[in-house]
Amino acid sequence: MIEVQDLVRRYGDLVAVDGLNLSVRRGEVMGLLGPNGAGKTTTLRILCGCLGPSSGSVQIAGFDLATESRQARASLGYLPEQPPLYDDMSVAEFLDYAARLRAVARAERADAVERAMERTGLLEVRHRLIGQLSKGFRQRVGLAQALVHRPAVLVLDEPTSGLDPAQMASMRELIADLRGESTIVLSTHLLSEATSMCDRVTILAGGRRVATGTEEELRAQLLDGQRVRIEITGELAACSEALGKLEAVRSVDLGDRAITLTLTQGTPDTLAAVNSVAAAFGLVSSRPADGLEELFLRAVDPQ
Amino acid sequence: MIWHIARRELLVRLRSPFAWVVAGTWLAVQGLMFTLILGLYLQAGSGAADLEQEGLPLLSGLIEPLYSAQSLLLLLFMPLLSMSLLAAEQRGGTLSLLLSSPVSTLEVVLGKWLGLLGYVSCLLFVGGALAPITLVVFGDPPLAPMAGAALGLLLLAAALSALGLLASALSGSQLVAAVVTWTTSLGLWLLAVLEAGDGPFAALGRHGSLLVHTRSFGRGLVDGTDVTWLIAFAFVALLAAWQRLESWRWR
Repeated sequence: MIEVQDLVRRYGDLVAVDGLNLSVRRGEVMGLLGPNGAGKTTTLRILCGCLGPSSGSVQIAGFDLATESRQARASLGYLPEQPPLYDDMSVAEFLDYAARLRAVARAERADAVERAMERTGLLEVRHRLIGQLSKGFRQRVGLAQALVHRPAVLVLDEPTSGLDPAQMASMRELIADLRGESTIVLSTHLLSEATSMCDRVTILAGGRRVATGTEEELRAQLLDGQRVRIEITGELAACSEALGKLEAVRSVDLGDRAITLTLTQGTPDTLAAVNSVAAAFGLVSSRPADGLEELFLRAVDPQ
Repeated sequence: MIWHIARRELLVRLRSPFAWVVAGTWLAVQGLMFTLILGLYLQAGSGAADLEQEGLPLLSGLIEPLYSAQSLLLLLFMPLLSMSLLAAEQRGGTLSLLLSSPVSTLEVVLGKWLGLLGYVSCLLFVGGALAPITLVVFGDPPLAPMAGAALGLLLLAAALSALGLLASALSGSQLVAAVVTWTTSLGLWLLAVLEAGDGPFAALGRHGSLLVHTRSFGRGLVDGTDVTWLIAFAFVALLAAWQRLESWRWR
Protein backbone atom coordinates (compact mmCIF):
# COMPACT_ATOMS: atom_id res chain seq x y z
CA MET A 1 0.00 0.00 0.00
CA ILE A 2 2.95 2.32 0.71
CA GLU A 3 6.27 1.86 -1.02
CA VAL A 4 9.17 4.15 -0.24
CA GLN A 5 12.40 3.70 -2.15
CA ASP A 6 15.76 5.34 -1.52
CA LEU A 7 14.11 8.40 -0.04
CA VAL A 8 16.44 11.30 0.67
CA ARG A 9 15.54 14.72 2.04
CA ARG A 10 18.10 17.43 2.61
CA TYR A 11 17.69 20.80 4.29
CA GLY A 12 20.77 22.56 2.99
CA ASP A 13 23.71 20.54 4.33
CA LEU A 14 21.58 18.62 6.80
CA VAL A 15 20.37 15.22 5.62
CA ALA A 16 17.08 14.65 7.45
CA VAL A 17 16.16 11.42 5.65
CA ASP A 18 19.01 9.36 4.27
CA GLY A 19 18.17 6.62 1.76
CA LEU A 20 15.06 5.31 3.49
CA ASN A 21 13.30 2.21 2.15
CA LEU A 22 9.95 1.29 3.59
CA SER A 23 7.12 -1.01 2.61
CA VAL A 24 3.76 -1.03 4.38
CA ARG A 25 1.23 -3.72 3.57
CA ARG A 26 -2.51 -3.16 3.11
CA GLY A 27 -4.35 -2.91 6.43
CA GLU A 28 -1.15 -2.85 8.44
CA VAL A 29 -0.34 -0.41 11.25
CA MET A 30 3.28 0.67 10.88
CA GLY A 31 4.98 2.73 13.55
CA LEU A 32 7.90 5.03 12.90
CA LEU A 33 9.90 5.15 16.09
CA GLY A 34 12.86 7.30 16.88
CA PRO A 35 14.16 10.14 18.98
CA ASN A 36 13.61 13.79 18.05
CA GLY A 37 15.46 14.61 14.85
CA ALA A 38 15.39 11.01 13.61
CA GLY A 39 13.52 12.02 10.44
CA LYS A 40 10.04 10.77 11.38
CA THR A 41 8.10 13.99 10.72
CA THR A 42 10.06 14.72 7.54
CA THR A 43 9.27 11.22 6.26
CA LEU A 44 5.57 11.58 7.05
CA ARG A 45 5.39 15.05 5.46
CA ILE A 46 6.90 13.61 2.31
CA LEU A 47 4.45 10.68 2.37
CA CYS A 48 1.46 13.03 2.44
CA GLY A 49 2.76 15.37 -0.25
CA CYS A 50 3.43 18.37 2.00
CA LEU A 51 7.16 18.17 1.37
CA GLY A 52 9.05 17.21 -1.75
CA PRO A 53 11.86 14.64 -1.54
CA SER A 54 15.41 15.50 -2.64
CA SER A 55 15.47 12.10 -4.34
CA GLY A 56 13.77 8.73 -4.18
CA SER A 57 10.22 7.67 -4.86
CA VAL A 58 7.00 7.20 -2.91
CA GLN A 59 3.95 5.23 -3.97
CA ILE A 60 0.65 5.56 -2.13
CA ALA A 61 -2.08 3.03 -2.95
CA GLY A 62 -0.36 2.32 -6.25
CA PHE A 63 -0.03 5.97 -7.27
CA ASP A 64 3.34 7.60 -7.66
CA LEU A 65 3.43 10.70 -5.48
CA ALA A 66 5.55 12.61 -8.01
CA THR A 67 3.65 11.84 -11.21
CA GLU A 68 0.15 11.01 -9.90
CA SER A 69 0.17 13.36 -6.95
CA ARG A 70 -3.53 14.19 -6.96
CA GLN A 71 -4.66 10.54 -6.94
CA ALA A 72 -2.05 9.65 -4.33
CA ARG A 73 -3.17 12.52 -2.06
CA ALA A 74 -6.84 11.62 -2.57
CA SER A 75 -5.99 8.20 -1.13
CA LEU A 76 -4.59 9.47 2.14
CA GLY A 77 -5.57 11.35 5.25
CA TYR A 78 -2.97 13.23 7.27
CA LEU A 79 -2.93 14.32 10.88
CA PRO A 80 0.18 16.41 11.55
CA GLU A 81 1.59 16.82 15.05
CA GLN A 82 -0.21 20.16 15.26
CA PRO A 83 -3.74 19.43 13.95
CA PRO A 84 -4.59 21.71 11.00
CA LEU A 85 -7.69 23.38 12.39
CA TYR A 86 -9.51 26.65 11.72
CA ASP A 87 -10.51 28.05 15.10
CA ASP A 88 -13.21 30.23 13.52
CA MET A 89 -15.20 27.29 12.13
CA SER A 90 -17.51 24.91 13.95
CA VAL A 91 -16.59 21.23 14.02
CA ALA A 92 -19.28 20.27 11.49
CA GLU A 93 -18.41 23.15 9.14
CA PHE A 94 -14.72 22.32 9.26
CA LEU A 95 -15.31 18.65 8.51
CA ASP A 96 -17.60 19.62 5.65
CA TYR A 97 -14.80 21.82 4.28
CA ALA A 98 -12.28 18.98 4.71
CA ALA A 99 -14.65 16.63 2.85
CA ARG A 100 -14.96 19.16 0.02
CA LEU A 101 -11.16 19.47 -0.21
CA ARG A 102 -10.89 15.67 -0.30
CA ALA A 103 -13.32 15.61 -3.24
CA VAL A 104 -16.11 13.72 -1.43
CA ALA A 105 -19.14 13.79 -3.75
CA ARG A 106 -21.85 16.29 -2.80
CA ALA A 107 -24.47 13.55 -2.26
CA GLU A 108 -22.20 11.68 0.17
CA ARG A 109 -20.73 14.67 1.98
CA ALA A 110 -23.26 15.00 4.80
CA ASP A 111 -23.06 11.28 5.58
CA ALA A 112 -19.26 11.35 5.46
CA VAL A 113 -19.13 14.23 7.96
CA GLU A 114 -21.69 12.54 10.22
CA ARG A 115 -19.79 9.26 10.14
CA ALA A 116 -16.45 10.94 10.90
CA MET A 117 -17.96 12.77 13.88
CA GLU A 118 -19.58 9.60 15.18
CA ARG A 119 -16.37 7.65 14.74
CA THR A 120 -14.33 10.16 16.72
CA GLY A 121 -16.93 11.03 19.35
CA LEU A 122 -17.53 14.57 18.19
CA LEU A 123 -21.33 14.57 17.83
CA GLU A 124 -21.83 16.41 21.14
CA VAL A 125 -19.54 19.29 20.07
CA ARG A 126 -20.53 19.46 16.40
CA HIS A 127 -21.79 23.06 16.64
CA ARG A 128 -19.00 24.34 18.88
CA LEU A 129 -16.30 26.56 17.43
CA ILE A 130 -13.02 24.66 17.18
CA GLY A 131 -11.22 27.48 18.97
CA GLN A 132 -13.28 26.74 22.09
CA LEU A 133 -12.44 23.02 22.25
CA SER A 134 -10.08 21.27 24.67
CA LYS A 135 -6.81 19.79 23.45
CA GLY A 136 -8.29 16.28 23.43
CA PHE A 137 -11.27 17.29 21.31
CA ARG A 138 -9.03 19.29 18.96
CA GLN A 139 -6.95 16.17 18.39
CA ARG A 140 -10.16 14.23 17.65
CA VAL A 141 -11.22 16.86 15.12
CA GLY A 142 -7.76 16.52 13.57
CA LEU A 143 -8.26 12.77 13.27
CA ALA A 144 -11.82 13.23 11.94
CA GLN A 145 -10.62 15.50 9.11
CA ALA A 146 -8.00 12.89 8.20
CA LEU A 147 -10.55 10.09 7.86
CA VAL A 148 -13.63 11.96 6.62
CA HIS A 149 -13.11 10.66 3.08
CA ARG A 150 -12.35 7.08 4.25
CA PRO A 151 -8.81 7.09 2.90
CA ALA A 152 -6.90 3.94 2.08
CA VAL A 153 -3.91 5.32 3.97
CA LEU A 154 -3.82 7.27 7.23
CA VAL A 155 -0.67 9.16 8.18
CA LEU A 156 -0.59 10.22 11.83
CA ASP A 157 2.30 12.24 13.23
CA GLU A 158 2.61 11.70 16.98
CA PRO A 159 -1.17 11.42 17.44
CA THR A 160 -0.98 11.20 21.23
CA SER A 161 1.59 13.96 21.70
CA GLY A 162 0.63 16.55 24.33
CA LEU A 163 -2.45 14.66 25.54
CA ASP A 164 -3.11 13.73 29.17
CA PRO A 165 -3.14 9.99 30.01
CA ALA A 166 -6.93 9.65 29.65
CA GLN A 167 -6.94 11.48 26.31
CA MET A 168 -3.96 9.39 25.20
CA ALA A 169 -5.83 6.16 25.97
CA SER A 170 -8.89 7.44 24.16
CA MET A 171 -6.86 8.39 21.07
CA ARG A 172 -5.18 4.97 21.07
CA GLU A 173 -8.61 3.33 21.19
CA LEU A 174 -9.75 5.42 18.23
CA ILE A 175 -6.70 4.39 16.23
CA ALA A 176 -7.16 0.74 17.22
CA ASP A 177 -10.74 1.01 15.91
CA LEU A 178 -9.37 1.98 12.49
CA ARG A 179 -7.11 -1.06 12.30
CA GLY A 180 -7.87 -3.10 9.20
CA GLU A 181 -9.98 -0.35 7.65
CA SER A 182 -7.08 1.84 6.56
CA THR A 183 -3.38 1.26 6.28
CA ILE A 184 -1.91 3.38 9.05
CA VAL A 185 1.54 4.89 9.42
CA LEU A 186 2.10 6.68 12.69
CA SER A 187 5.11 8.17 14.36
CA THR A 188 5.96 8.16 18.02
CA HIS A 189 8.99 8.44 20.21
CA LEU A 190 7.53 6.04 22.78
CA LEU A 191 8.59 2.43 22.34
CA SER A 192 5.73 1.08 24.44
CA GLU A 193 3.21 2.98 22.30
CA ALA A 194 4.79 1.72 19.08
CA THR A 195 4.83 -1.92 20.14
CA SER A 196 1.31 -1.84 21.60
CA MET A 197 -0.38 -0.02 18.70
CA CYS A 198 1.52 -1.21 15.65
CA ASP A 199 1.82 -4.47 13.77
CA ARG A 200 5.35 -3.57 12.79
CA VAL A 201 7.74 -0.84 13.82
CA THR A 202 10.49 0.89 11.88
CA ILE A 203 13.17 2.43 14.05
CA LEU A 204 14.81 5.53 12.60
CA ALA A 205 17.95 7.26 13.78
CA GLY A 206 19.75 10.09 12.01
CA GLY A 207 17.42 9.77 9.03
CA ARG A 208 18.32 6.12 8.50
CA ARG A 209 16.40 2.95 9.15
CA VAL A 210 17.94 1.01 12.02
CA ALA A 211 15.49 -1.88 12.13
CA THR A 212 12.02 -2.91 10.96
CA GLY A 213 9.73 -5.63 12.16
CA THR A 214 7.49 -6.98 14.86
CA GLU A 215 8.62 -6.77 18.47
CA GLU A 216 10.39 -10.13 18.23
CA GLU A 217 11.98 -9.31 14.89
CA LEU A 218 13.22 -6.00 16.25
CA ARG A 219 14.76 -7.74 19.21
CA ALA A 220 16.61 -10.11 16.89
CA GLN A 221 17.74 -7.27 14.60
CA LEU A 222 18.92 -5.14 17.48
CA LEU A 223 20.93 -7.92 19.11
CA ASP A 224 24.11 -6.86 17.37
CA GLY A 225 26.56 -6.02 20.12
CA GLN A 226 23.95 -6.84 22.74
CA ARG A 227 23.91 -9.28 25.60
CA VAL A 228 22.30 -12.72 26.01
CA ARG A 229 21.80 -14.50 29.30
CA ILE A 230 22.22 -18.32 29.21
CA GLU A 231 21.06 -20.65 31.98
CA ILE A 232 22.16 -24.30 31.95
CA THR A 233 22.05 -27.32 34.23
CA GLY A 234 25.62 -28.44 33.39
CA GLU A 235 29.05 -27.09 34.19
CA LEU A 236 29.10 -23.29 33.79
CA ALA A 237 32.85 -22.94 33.30
CA ALA A 238 33.05 -25.58 30.56
CA CYS A 239 30.06 -24.12 28.76
CA SER A 240 31.52 -20.65 29.06
CA GLU A 241 34.79 -21.84 27.51
CA ALA A 242 32.93 -23.51 24.63
CA LEU A 243 30.81 -20.44 23.98
CA GLY A 244 33.87 -18.19 24.10
CA LYS A 245 35.27 -20.02 21.08
CA LEU A 246 32.34 -18.97 18.89
CA GLU A 247 33.19 -16.27 16.37
CA ALA A 248 29.97 -14.37 17.09
CA VAL A 249 30.73 -14.09 20.80
CA ARG A 250 32.74 -11.04 21.79
CA SER A 251 32.96 -11.71 25.52
CA VAL A 252 31.71 -14.12 28.15
CA ASP A 253 30.81 -13.13 31.68
CA LEU A 254 30.60 -16.08 34.04
CA GLY A 255 28.12 -15.58 36.85
CA ASP A 256 27.07 -17.75 39.81
CA ARG A 257 24.02 -19.19 38.09
CA ALA A 258 24.21 -18.06 34.47
CA ILE A 259 26.48 -16.96 31.67
CA THR A 260 26.07 -13.56 30.01
CA LEU A 261 27.41 -13.27 26.46
CA THR A 262 28.05 -10.17 24.43
CA LEU A 263 27.49 -10.88 20.75
CA THR A 264 29.28 -9.36 17.79
CA GLN A 265 26.48 -10.21 15.37
CA GLY A 266 22.86 -10.25 16.30
CA THR A 267 21.30 -12.43 13.63
CA PRO A 268 18.93 -15.29 14.49
CA ASP A 269 21.67 -17.63 13.17
CA THR A 270 24.03 -16.36 15.83
CA LEU A 271 21.51 -17.08 18.53
CA ALA A 272 20.91 -20.54 17.09
CA ALA A 273 24.65 -21.27 17.19
CA VAL A 274 24.87 -20.10 20.79
CA ASN A 275 21.85 -22.18 21.78
CA SER A 276 23.21 -25.23 20.02
CA VAL A 277 26.48 -25.07 22.00
CA ALA A 278 24.63 -24.40 25.26
CA ALA A 279 22.24 -27.30 24.58
CA ALA A 280 25.12 -29.72 25.10
CA PHE A 281 25.40 -28.38 28.66
CA GLY A 282 21.68 -28.70 29.48
CA LEU A 283 20.26 -25.43 28.23
CA VAL A 284 17.43 -24.16 30.43
CA SER A 285 16.89 -20.72 28.95
CA SER A 286 18.49 -18.29 26.54
CA ARG A 287 17.13 -14.77 26.45
CA PRO A 288 18.27 -11.21 25.88
CA ALA A 289 19.80 -9.72 28.98
CA ASP A 290 18.43 -6.29 28.03
CA GLY A 291 14.83 -5.17 27.60
CA LEU A 292 13.63 -3.86 24.25
CA GLU A 293 13.78 -0.33 25.64
CA GLU A 294 17.54 -0.65 26.28
CA LEU A 295 18.06 -2.22 22.86
CA PHE A 296 16.16 0.64 21.26
CA LEU A 297 18.14 3.27 23.14
CA ARG A 298 21.44 1.66 22.17
CA ALA A 299 20.30 1.34 18.56
CA VAL A 300 19.38 5.01 18.18
CA ASP A 301 22.35 6.26 20.18
CA PRO A 302 25.26 3.79 20.11
CA GLN A 303 27.40 6.16 22.23
CA MET B 1 -11.92 22.96 -5.67
CA ILE B 2 -11.32 26.65 -6.38
CA TRP B 3 -14.92 27.34 -5.45
CA HIS B 4 -14.66 25.43 -2.14
CA ILE B 5 -11.61 27.45 -1.09
CA ALA B 6 -13.17 30.75 -2.24
CA ARG B 7 -16.41 29.89 -0.42
CA ARG B 8 -14.55 29.33 2.86
CA GLU B 9 -12.80 32.69 2.48
CA LEU B 10 -16.13 34.42 2.00
CA LEU B 11 -17.97 32.60 4.79
CA VAL B 12 -15.21 33.17 7.31
CA ARG B 13 -15.12 36.88 6.54
CA LEU B 14 -18.86 37.13 6.99
CA ARG B 15 -18.46 36.00 10.60
CA SER B 16 -15.17 37.62 11.43
CA PRO B 17 -15.54 40.65 13.75
CA PHE B 18 -12.40 42.14 12.22
CA ALA B 19 -13.82 41.89 8.69
CA TRP B 20 -17.04 43.56 9.89
CA VAL B 21 -15.10 46.37 11.55
CA VAL B 22 -13.17 46.91 8.30
CA ALA B 23 -16.39 46.74 6.27
CA GLY B 24 -18.18 49.16 8.64
CA THR B 25 -15.30 51.64 8.54
CA TRP B 26 -15.04 51.33 4.78
CA LEU B 27 -18.76 51.97 4.25
CA ALA B 28 -18.81 54.85 6.76
CA VAL B 29 -15.87 56.56 5.04
CA GLN B 30 -17.42 55.83 1.66
CA GLY B 31 -20.73 57.40 2.73
CA LEU B 32 -18.97 60.40 4.21
CA MET B 33 -16.96 60.95 1.04
CA PHE B 34 -20.09 60.69 -1.09
CA THR B 35 -21.87 63.26 1.09
CA LEU B 36 -18.91 65.63 0.96
CA ILE B 37 -18.39 65.31 -2.80
CA LEU B 38 -22.11 65.66 -3.47
CA GLY B 39 -22.26 68.70 -1.15
CA LEU B 40 -19.34 70.36 -2.93
CA TYR B 41 -20.88 69.61 -6.30
CA LEU B 42 -24.25 71.06 -5.32
CA GLN B 43 -22.62 74.08 -3.67
CA ALA B 44 -20.64 74.81 -6.83
CA GLY B 45 -23.85 74.86 -8.85
CA SER B 46 -26.26 76.21 -6.24
CA GLY B 47 -29.39 77.69 -7.69
CA ALA B 48 -28.92 76.10 -11.04
CA ALA B 49 -31.89 74.10 -12.21
CA ASP B 50 -29.82 71.95 -14.48
CA LEU B 51 -26.28 71.56 -13.23
CA GLU B 52 -24.88 70.18 -16.45
CA GLN B 53 -26.24 73.10 -18.39
CA GLU B 54 -24.62 75.48 -15.91
CA GLY B 55 -21.22 74.11 -16.91
CA LEU B 56 -20.75 71.65 -14.07
CA PRO B 57 -20.38 68.31 -15.79
CA LEU B 58 -21.63 65.43 -13.70
CA LEU B 59 -18.76 63.28 -14.88
CA SER B 60 -15.87 65.45 -13.73
CA GLY B 61 -17.76 67.06 -10.86
CA LEU B 62 -19.17 63.96 -9.24
CA ILE B 63 -18.41 60.59 -10.83
CA GLU B 64 -14.64 61.09 -11.17
CA PRO B 65 -14.11 62.30 -7.57
CA LEU B 66 -16.27 59.45 -6.33
CA TYR B 67 -14.22 56.99 -8.35
CA SER B 68 -10.97 58.43 -6.98
CA ALA B 69 -12.29 58.20 -3.44
CA GLN B 70 -13.23 54.54 -3.93
CA SER B 71 -9.79 53.82 -5.42
CA LEU B 72 -8.09 55.35 -2.39
CA LEU B 73 -10.29 53.31 -0.07
CA LEU B 74 -9.24 50.16 -1.92
CA LEU B 75 -5.61 51.17 -1.57
CA LEU B 76 -5.97 51.78 2.16
CA PHE B 77 -8.16 48.83 3.15
CA MET B 78 -7.01 46.03 0.87
CA PRO B 79 -3.84 45.25 2.90
CA LEU B 80 -6.00 44.72 5.99
CA LEU B 81 -8.21 42.28 4.14
CA SER B 82 -5.52 40.39 2.27
CA MET B 83 -2.88 40.05 4.99
CA SER B 84 -4.32 36.83 6.44
CA LEU B 85 -4.88 34.97 3.17
CA LEU B 86 -1.83 32.70 3.31
CA ALA B 87 0.12 34.11 6.27
CA ALA B 88 -2.56 32.82 8.66
CA GLU B 89 -2.44 29.39 7.01
CA GLN B 90 1.33 29.31 7.53
CA ARG B 91 1.12 30.51 11.12
CA GLY B 92 -1.84 28.32 12.07
CA GLY B 93 -0.41 25.14 10.56
CA THR B 94 -3.46 24.69 8.32
CA LEU B 95 -1.37 24.77 5.17
CA SER B 96 -0.72 21.04 5.64
CA LEU B 97 -4.47 20.44 5.21
CA LEU B 98 -4.37 22.13 1.80
CA LEU B 99 -1.08 20.63 0.68
CA SER B 100 -2.04 17.07 1.64
CA SER B 101 -5.46 17.32 -0.05
CA PRO B 102 -5.96 16.52 -3.73
CA VAL B 103 -5.84 20.23 -4.53
CA SER B 104 -3.15 21.91 -6.60
CA THR B 105 -1.31 24.91 -5.23
CA LEU B 106 -2.63 26.91 -8.20
CA GLU B 107 -6.18 26.10 -7.12
CA VAL B 108 -5.36 27.23 -3.59
CA VAL B 109 -4.03 30.56 -4.88
CA LEU B 110 -6.97 31.15 -7.21
CA GLY B 111 -9.51 30.14 -4.58
CA LYS B 112 -8.04 32.52 -2.01
CA TRP B 113 -7.84 35.34 -4.54
CA LEU B 114 -11.40 34.89 -5.79
CA GLY B 115 -12.72 34.63 -2.23
CA LEU B 116 -11.19 37.97 -1.30
CA LEU B 117 -12.20 39.55 -4.60
CA GLY B 118 -15.78 38.40 -4.02
CA TYR B 119 -15.83 39.97 -0.57
CA VAL B 120 -14.33 43.26 -1.79
CA SER B 121 -16.77 43.32 -4.72
CA CYS B 122 -19.61 43.03 -2.20
CA LEU B 123 -18.21 46.04 -0.34
CA LEU B 124 -17.74 48.02 -3.55
CA PHE B 125 -20.90 47.21 -5.43
CA VAL B 126 -23.44 46.15 -2.80
CA GLY B 127 -22.37 48.21 0.21
CA GLY B 128 -21.25 51.04 -2.04
CA ALA B 129 -24.36 51.03 -4.24
CA LEU B 130 -25.86 53.98 -2.33
CA ALA B 131 -23.99 56.58 -4.38
CA PRO B 132 -24.93 55.37 -7.88
CA ILE B 133 -28.51 54.60 -6.81
CA THR B 134 -28.88 58.14 -5.42
CA LEU B 135 -27.54 59.58 -8.66
CA VAL B 136 -29.85 57.46 -10.80
CA VAL B 137 -32.92 58.23 -8.67
CA PHE B 138 -32.36 61.97 -8.31
CA GLY B 139 -30.54 62.75 -11.53
CA ASP B 140 -29.84 61.52 -14.95
CA PRO B 141 -26.20 60.39 -14.83
CA PRO B 142 -24.45 58.98 -17.90
CA LEU B 143 -24.58 55.21 -17.34
CA ALA B 144 -21.73 54.18 -19.65
CA PRO B 145 -19.04 56.17 -17.76
CA MET B 146 -20.42 54.81 -14.49
CA ALA B 147 -20.06 51.26 -15.82
CA GLY B 148 -16.52 52.12 -16.94
CA ALA B 149 -15.70 53.38 -13.45
CA ALA B 150 -17.13 50.19 -11.93
CA LEU B 151 -14.94 48.11 -14.25
CA GLY B 152 -11.92 50.18 -13.24
CA LEU B 153 -12.62 49.58 -9.55
CA LEU B 154 -13.07 45.85 -10.13
CA LEU B 155 -9.77 45.62 -12.02
CA LEU B 156 -7.97 47.66 -9.36
CA ALA B 157 -9.43 45.40 -6.65
CA ALA B 158 -8.30 42.34 -8.63
CA ALA B 159 -4.76 43.71 -8.96
CA LEU B 160 -4.49 44.77 -5.31
CA SER B 161 -5.97 41.45 -4.08
CA ALA B 162 -3.33 39.59 -6.07
CA LEU B 163 -0.59 41.83 -4.65
CA GLY B 164 -1.92 41.28 -1.12
CA LEU B 165 -2.02 37.53 -1.69
CA LEU B 166 1.59 37.57 -2.86
CA ALA B 167 2.69 39.56 0.21
CA SER B 168 0.78 37.14 2.42
CA ALA B 169 2.55 34.22 0.74
CA LEU B 170 5.95 35.83 1.19
CA SER B 171 5.63 36.37 4.92
CA GLY B 172 4.36 34.27 7.80
CA SER B 173 3.46 37.49 9.63
CA GLN B 174 0.15 39.18 8.82
CA LEU B 175 1.50 42.54 9.94
CA VAL B 176 4.51 42.30 7.63
CA ALA B 177 2.21 41.19 4.79
CA ALA B 178 -0.04 44.23 5.34
CA VAL B 179 2.89 46.65 5.48
CA VAL B 180 4.42 45.14 2.31
CA THR B 181 1.10 45.46 0.45
CA TRP B 182 0.63 49.04 1.67
CA THR B 183 4.10 50.25 0.77
CA THR B 184 4.17 48.48 -2.59
CA SER B 185 0.74 49.63 -3.70
CA LEU B 186 1.24 53.21 -2.46
CA GLY B 187 4.68 53.28 -4.09
CA LEU B 188 3.24 52.11 -7.38
CA TRP B 189 0.42 54.66 -7.02
CA LEU B 190 2.79 57.55 -6.34
CA LEU B 191 5.03 56.69 -9.28
CA ALA B 192 2.59 58.94 -11.15
CA VAL B 193 4.46 62.02 -9.84
CA LEU B 194 7.38 61.10 -12.12
CA GLU B 195 5.14 61.30 -15.13
CA ALA B 196 5.49 65.07 -15.40
CA GLY B 197 9.29 64.92 -15.75
CA ASP B 198 11.52 63.87 -18.62
CA GLY B 199 13.58 60.86 -19.55
CA PRO B 200 13.40 57.33 -18.23
CA PHE B 201 11.82 58.36 -14.94
CA ALA B 202 8.89 59.88 -16.79
CA ALA B 203 8.52 56.65 -18.73
CA LEU B 204 8.60 54.75 -15.45
CA GLY B 205 5.84 56.97 -14.10
CA ARG B 206 3.81 56.62 -17.28
CA HIS B 207 4.11 52.87 -17.57
CA GLY B 208 4.58 51.69 -14.00
CA SER B 209 2.11 53.74 -11.99
CA LEU B 210 -1.11 52.19 -10.72
CA LEU B 211 -2.71 55.65 -10.69
CA VAL B 212 -1.86 56.33 -14.33
CA HIS B 213 -3.40 53.02 -15.37
CA THR B 214 -6.60 53.44 -13.37
CA ARG B 215 -7.51 57.14 -13.57
CA SER B 216 -8.99 57.05 -17.06
CA PHE B 217 -11.76 54.71 -15.86
CA GLY B 218 -13.00 57.52 -13.61
CA ARG B 219 -13.50 59.69 -16.70
CA GLY B 220 -15.56 56.96 -18.27
CA LEU B 221 -12.77 55.87 -20.60
CA VAL B 222 -12.02 52.18 -20.88
CA ASP B 223 -8.57 52.02 -22.42
CA GLY B 224 -7.42 48.63 -23.67
CA THR B 225 -3.85 49.32 -22.52
CA ASP B 226 -4.99 50.05 -18.96
CA VAL B 227 -7.21 46.96 -18.87
CA THR B 228 -4.33 44.81 -20.13
CA TRP B 229 -1.87 46.40 -17.68
CA LEU B 230 -4.11 45.72 -14.68
CA ILE B 231 -4.87 42.15 -15.76
CA ALA B 232 -1.15 41.52 -16.37
CA PHE B 233 -0.35 43.00 -12.94
CA ALA B 234 -2.79 40.61 -11.25
CA PHE B 235 -1.56 37.71 -13.37
CA VAL B 236 2.11 38.26 -12.48
CA ALA B 237 1.32 38.65 -8.77
CA LEU B 238 -0.79 35.47 -8.78
CA LEU B 239 1.92 33.59 -10.66
CA ALA B 240 4.52 34.70 -8.12
CA ALA B 241 2.21 33.74 -5.21
CA TRP B 242 1.66 30.33 -6.80
CA GLN B 243 5.39 29.76 -7.21
CA ARG B 244 5.98 30.86 -3.64
CA LEU B 245 3.37 28.39 -2.37
CA GLU B 246 4.84 25.63 -4.53
CA SER B 247 8.31 26.42 -3.17
CA TRP B 248 7.14 25.62 0.37
CA ARG B 249 7.25 21.95 -0.58
CA TRP B 250 10.94 22.28 -1.38
CA ARG B 251 12.21 24.45 1.47
